[in-house]
Amino acid sequence: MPVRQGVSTYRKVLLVAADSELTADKLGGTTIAMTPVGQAGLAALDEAIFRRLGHRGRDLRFITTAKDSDALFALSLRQVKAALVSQDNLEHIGSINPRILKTVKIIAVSDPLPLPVLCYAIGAVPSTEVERMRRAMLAGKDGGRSAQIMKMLQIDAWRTP
Amino acid sequence: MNKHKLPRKILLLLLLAFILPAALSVQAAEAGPIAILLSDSEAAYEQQATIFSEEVRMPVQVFNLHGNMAHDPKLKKKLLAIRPSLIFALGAKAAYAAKLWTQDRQDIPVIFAMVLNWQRYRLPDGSRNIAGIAAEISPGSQFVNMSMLAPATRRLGMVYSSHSENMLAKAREEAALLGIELVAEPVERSGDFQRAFKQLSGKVDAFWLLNDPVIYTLENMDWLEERCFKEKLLCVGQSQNLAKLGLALTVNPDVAQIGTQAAAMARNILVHGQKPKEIGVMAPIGTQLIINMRTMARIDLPVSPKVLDLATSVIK
Repeated sequence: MPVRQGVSTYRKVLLVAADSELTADKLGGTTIAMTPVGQAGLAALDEAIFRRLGHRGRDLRFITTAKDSDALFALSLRQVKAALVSQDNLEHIGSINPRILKTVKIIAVSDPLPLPVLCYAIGAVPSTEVERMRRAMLAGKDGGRSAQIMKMLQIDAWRTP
Repeated sequence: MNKHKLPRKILLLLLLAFILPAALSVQAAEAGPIAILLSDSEAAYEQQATIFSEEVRMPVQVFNLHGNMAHDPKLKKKLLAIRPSLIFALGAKAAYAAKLWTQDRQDIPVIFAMVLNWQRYRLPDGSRNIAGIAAEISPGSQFVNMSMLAPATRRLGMVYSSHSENMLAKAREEAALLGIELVAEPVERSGDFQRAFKQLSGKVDAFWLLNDPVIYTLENMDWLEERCFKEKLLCVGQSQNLAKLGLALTVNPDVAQIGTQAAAMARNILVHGQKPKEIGVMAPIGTQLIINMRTMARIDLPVSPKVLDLATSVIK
């Protein structure tokens, strides 16, 4: 399991444009930009944020983006009315260009969500391949390519459950 | 007599109010698969069709114009025979055909993509069933990505001809959202580009190169590359090749994301009842950032490692 700042969870933040009057309870009928989460991920988001705001993920309209930055930028440019991005990524982008943060505002923060785990289906992948992946991914911050991947994913360490 | 007519009318209206939505939902339920209409057998269209099919999670059927609307005169009939719930049209010919074929079938939503200069075809005009994704990235997407590389940019220079005049207002509006002022110099001929660029010298923090046929000549590009070095100016373009040629940064649409974006739009229409007219023509949301580190070094602009994490490709 990945560990970021001592925990294996992260939060998502629901954003609207800085001058928007849209509130979290009025999300129905609004297009929200976010990275794809799949059916299970949507159910997790229901638990972590949407239900509390009076919504169900399956009833909301989404535009999926490959990166959180694309979802955030689409909102900054008013191409969508709302965006759901990881709080870490929002802070990361804000640390590069604080002006971006002034174009949006947070209207809700999710409960902690588990960071995606690294796993494999037993029998589906040869053991040599599993070992190769394990070496590549879990080599830690001194592991060259592994360090690069960890830095990109903002992962500090791995822990085995 | 009249006493009875009014309640009857009301009764009729009430019946219609209840029956019509039911009839429509039956029609929706009976609607067939999504029709994917390709302009031609080009790999780029086929790639988008595949991505769309995987992402939309609904049955699809592919039709192909093979580059010519007259290639199969029965294609319209065949497509409409499947009772398509929606048409995803790829390329200008497919988009135009979809518009034409649904002129009297406005209940069939159409989403078009990969149409260069879609405004030229007036696709949404006079139709309420058409939405789309522009092939060109919005000026704002370029500015916001540029601002990650050079957050201090306040004044952005550009040279434009009459070909790009229409997008100027939108570009200014989107730049303003990011606190950037656009300083624009008009030209009439390719040969005026260098003079116009020099007019901007010292007045701007960065230069935005348009895909404008008047400006975009080999001679101007070679001159611009050298000039950006000389003036230590961040120059931003819209084509991956420009970064390879020496421009510091290019921002272009992430083509692989267009099928995904169209699939999300299709689900919003078919599952969540969003009206195509309400969506309109969206800019492609996915972007690719190509940073030329050699050029960045030559113009003395340091690049934070955090920014490199956002880049799709880094030329070293």
